[in-house]
Amino acid sequence: MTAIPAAIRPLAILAMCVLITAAGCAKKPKVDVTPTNTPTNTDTGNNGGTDNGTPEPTHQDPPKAAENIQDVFFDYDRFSLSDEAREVLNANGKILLETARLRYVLEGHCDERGTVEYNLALGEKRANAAKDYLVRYGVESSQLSTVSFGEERPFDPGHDEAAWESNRRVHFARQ
Amino acid sequence: MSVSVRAVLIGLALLFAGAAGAEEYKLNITKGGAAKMRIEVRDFRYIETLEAPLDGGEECEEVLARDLTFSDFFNVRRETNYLPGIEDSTRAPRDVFALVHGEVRREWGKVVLKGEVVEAASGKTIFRKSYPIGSPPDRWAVHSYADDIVYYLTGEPGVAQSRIVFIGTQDGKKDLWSVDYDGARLGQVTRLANIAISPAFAPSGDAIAFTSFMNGRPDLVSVRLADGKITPISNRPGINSAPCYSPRGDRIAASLSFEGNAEIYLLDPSGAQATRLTFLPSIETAPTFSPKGDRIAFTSDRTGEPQVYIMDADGANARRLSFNGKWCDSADWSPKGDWIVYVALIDDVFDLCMIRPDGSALQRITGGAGSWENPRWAPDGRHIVAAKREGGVRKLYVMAADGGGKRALTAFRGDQYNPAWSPPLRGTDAR
Repeated sequence: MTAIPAAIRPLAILAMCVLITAAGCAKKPKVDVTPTNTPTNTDTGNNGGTDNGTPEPTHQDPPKAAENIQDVFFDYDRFSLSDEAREVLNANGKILLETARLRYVLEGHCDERGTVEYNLALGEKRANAAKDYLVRYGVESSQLSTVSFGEERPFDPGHDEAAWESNRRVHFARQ
Repeated sequence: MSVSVRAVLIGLALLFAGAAGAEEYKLNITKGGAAKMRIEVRDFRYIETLEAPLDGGEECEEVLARDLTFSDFFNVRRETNYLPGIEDSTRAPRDVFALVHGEVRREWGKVVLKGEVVEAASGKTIFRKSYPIGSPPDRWAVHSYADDIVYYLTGEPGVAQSRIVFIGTQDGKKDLWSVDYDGARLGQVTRLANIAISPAFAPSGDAIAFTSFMNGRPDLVSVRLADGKITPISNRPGINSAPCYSPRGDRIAASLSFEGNAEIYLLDPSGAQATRLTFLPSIETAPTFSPKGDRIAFTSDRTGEPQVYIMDADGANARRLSFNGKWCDSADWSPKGDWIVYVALIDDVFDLCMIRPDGSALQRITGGAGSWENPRWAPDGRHIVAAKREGGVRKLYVMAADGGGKRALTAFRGDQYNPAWSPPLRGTDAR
């Protein structure tokens, strides 16, 4: 983690530049998501995910606590948890411990760059990273399951850095 | 003295010429330096007013000439300014090797295309065969004739009787679609209205394995082309992805994660037995068999970045193949075994690259705008289909193996990606 391979150093620098120049953006998901439950709404709106046979979360009258479960975001081609991601997971973990009867599917998602096959594996790594962290936090493993959607179900249909950032996430879907 | 100076200058000139040539991303993968054979496709003779356009409105001769041109073996001339029929073979230019004729007529109550190829110099018939073409005429009969001509004159297989399957997105749903290699007869293969990715043809050409989310998770299934029947292959926990049939069709290499991490496994075609080939904490995916079935190229990010590796088909002797990009992926081993095509991230976009399985003769075959994905070989080992992402939408292109002659495959509206080129589909059932 501390030693960045020479080959990806430009990427890391780029990522840092993006983070620095868009310091406001970095916090954006937290600010936006909490009051409006944006990720789940976006999910249904953009992808019509409800009529494809997959077990979609029901959004009607979720318990108050569940609304505060937030998605976790990742760097390009990475599944390691940033400090910010850990903060979000700590908060999620607290809620999950309080509402042990609620079950969640942790959906791993990727941006559109890279190949379909690799991104499917990467999405799973992200979902597993989030789940493993929460289990270490104390959440029952049986409360959480994982699935990777790779790059196939983007939250933001755009093709720019903002869209990619938004699409590199683990989404908590109510089971 | 002056002689040696001149030699040095010539040497330098050659060096620069070589460098300039390399810039153009051109290489003689397909032609082997040989000149193309000149042939002439003459207007067919239609007896008993059977002349009717093929479905799609094209003439038989147009389709035949395009098939033969696409094969990349021939310099094809369409000759219309003469009396149809095989009698008039004397008017061909001297450099034309063969005249391609056709006659559509009724025989034993059936409409047939009688193909005949005549050596221009001698006027001798060198190939003759009848094809049931039906009425209205069927494109496939013309494609059969084209493949026979390619095979008879070159000894190489043609691809006129092949189709390309791909993932097409419509209304946000990703299903398998298929189209003739020349872009005609677009059709939908699956109607699962969900997510389907990574199709791979069985060597028999009658089934396609792919990853389907029809049950909410990435499972491996196969679809039978004859009737669209879906059969599960692997629904193990985690991902069941990136299938590739062995050349004999007796095994499927795939990336599965039921033991905790995405690794390459070999499955029997039913999916019941899984043999693990890789044992690393990194991502291992996108396997492709060598045509002998004895080796597998695949993607691994064991160094921290995805790169292409080759191993024996039992998982031994893995070594890195790609070194020319921060992200190299999506390899496909040519059916002749002599090249591996893959994508490499160069200057922030993915380009198509060719490399020998021993790591030599690296060539980049695309450049300019757009990012390329999922290159797949045609069964002739001389053409490639790949998706190009430009302006947010992916579109499929077919091209010669040196990257030349790129043309959009089909007018399908919507995102199109993940192509797979069928094996030769001979006979009427296969299409």
